[in-house]
Amino acid sequence: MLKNTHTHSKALLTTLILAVILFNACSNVFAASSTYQLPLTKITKFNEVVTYDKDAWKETISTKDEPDDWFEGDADKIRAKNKITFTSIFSKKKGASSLFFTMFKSFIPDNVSLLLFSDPEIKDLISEEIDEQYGKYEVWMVYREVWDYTIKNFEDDADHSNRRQFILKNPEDYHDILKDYNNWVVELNETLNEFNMTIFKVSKKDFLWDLIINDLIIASPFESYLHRVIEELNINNAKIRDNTLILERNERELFTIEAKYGDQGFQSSFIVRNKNGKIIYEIKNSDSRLLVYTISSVTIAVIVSITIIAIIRRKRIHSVKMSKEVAYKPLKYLIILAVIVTLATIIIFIPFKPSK
Amino acid sequence: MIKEELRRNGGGEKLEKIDELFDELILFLKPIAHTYIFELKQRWKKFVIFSSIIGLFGLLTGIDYVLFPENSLPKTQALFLEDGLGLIILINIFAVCFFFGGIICTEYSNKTGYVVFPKINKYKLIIGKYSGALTLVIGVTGLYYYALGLLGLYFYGEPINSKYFLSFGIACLYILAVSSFVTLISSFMKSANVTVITTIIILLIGFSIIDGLMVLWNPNIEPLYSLNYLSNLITSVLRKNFPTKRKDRYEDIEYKDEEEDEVFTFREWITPSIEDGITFLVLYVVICMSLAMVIFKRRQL
Repeated sequence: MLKNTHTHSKALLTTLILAVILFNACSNVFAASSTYQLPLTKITKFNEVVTYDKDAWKETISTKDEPDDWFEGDADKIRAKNKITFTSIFSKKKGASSLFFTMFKSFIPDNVSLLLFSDPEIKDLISEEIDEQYGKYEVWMVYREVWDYTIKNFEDDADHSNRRQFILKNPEDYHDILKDYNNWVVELNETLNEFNMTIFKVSKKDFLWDLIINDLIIASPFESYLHRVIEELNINNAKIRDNTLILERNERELFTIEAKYGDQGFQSSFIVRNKNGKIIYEIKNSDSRLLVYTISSVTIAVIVSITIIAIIRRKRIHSVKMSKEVAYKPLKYLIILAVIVTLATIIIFIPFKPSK
Repeated sequence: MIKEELRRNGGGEKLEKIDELFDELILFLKPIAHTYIFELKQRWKKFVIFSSIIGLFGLLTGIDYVLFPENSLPKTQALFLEDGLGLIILINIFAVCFFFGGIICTEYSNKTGYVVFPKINKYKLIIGKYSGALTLVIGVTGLYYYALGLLGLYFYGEPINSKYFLSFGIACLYILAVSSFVTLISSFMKSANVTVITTIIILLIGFSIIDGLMVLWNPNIEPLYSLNYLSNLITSVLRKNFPTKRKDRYEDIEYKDEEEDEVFTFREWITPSIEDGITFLVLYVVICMSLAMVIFKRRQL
């Protein structure tokens, strides 16, 4: 009888371990339906300005522009933080017009925006024409709540609500979207010239720069995705190293920016170095996942420990004559079970990915 | 050492009085404490099952957002917590009915009163049982708040707003009020099952009907008598702009009858003010417990 119980318990434990491993593996299998996967989940990330050398910035980049011209809010103050909450993630086929008006927003002058977008009917007409001519793109559409950089406490409501961001599923499409946009600009300028207005074409370097400054989110595998983007855009002064995109630029002097990508596909750090490799501006990123996992693990461990102690006490009360070996046998399995449950919680929570 | 010093200084009499008072207090509290512990031990399995289910509900409110990326997360942590706490009122009602349903009536229906009442003061017994059940229900609610708070921290990365703890405090007060109400019903009902069913019907359906009729009869009367209405305070305290003025605490909905050219206005009360809500919840506790004790005193085995 005892031997059967022992065998049964062993089988149960083995099944449990296998189930945990299989579940983890399967979550990756179900997700691997396309070449690239977006690992981004609904979470809030905090960016903090860690380093800002004002003199080196003026010497290397610009005497007029400061970091708050690159990033919104008080990005020129050390310890200034911004907050971004990702509220929803869609996988869609989106018309080229939506991508033009979102991805190239900073390249469209204000007077042209006013002319094209102030009247919803005109905007819809233009959008229809663009979508007919340039078709649709496969994208991930991410909605965000964005709080600008500030050294004060964050307000309850975001500075920019429901901000849309597109991530192209195929890295080759970055070249196509740029080409389509520039073609559209050429056509549009024929009409805009009658109003003494012009939109300029966007170069590949400026396009990539704008994407990085506006918090480009990428799909995994990260290095492969970034390599394809750079190859398609044919940018010579960019390279990839350990999930970091390194781009050279020249303003007053030569400088490099390093945009490192974390496991969720957004930038975990943004560093600007001068030609001597000295850091003149740095932003670091954080989120609360580790804290939550720690709290959850501790809670589960406490509950399991209390349960074990209660069971042991009961065993001792009820079986006074039982030998030590027999009394503590279930204890061994219980301790192993407690450890497995705690580890399983950590393993299950950490790599949980969205389905596409 | 202090006692010896006091005795030497002639404080012996005072010390003896203090000792006597202390012994009396211990004697008074001991039966309550023993009943309290007994109640916790007796119901721990139900507590574990209930807590597991409620904890799972709490986590499921968040897993929904993880499993379905298209499902939009509320814009702020406060909105997320407010949405998540929508279930808390139902949880509290069922938990209170479940744990408090048989608090008085089981002593009569199971005839255990014949054994227990001669040995222990009736009121001490009920206080002990009430405290034990209250601890368990607050524990269940606390677990739900904990699970939801953890999810709020995961999704939004910020420490939980202090208003969340205010909401928990009001939820505890609401539990006190509802449990007093259930105790009152239990004091004259014959069995625990009937008590539970009656209380659930009154709380979920009865108060809603009365509120509706009252609004039709005189919409200017704020339904502070209604536990249903008072429970809205639990979630509304989390709002960014809590309505402090009376006119902001209700919404008039107009229905137009075009044929007869009439306009019918239906008033929907949103939330009581914090002061009114707390006052009326405390009143519920005092009135229901007083009535329950009076009925209990007169009830024969």
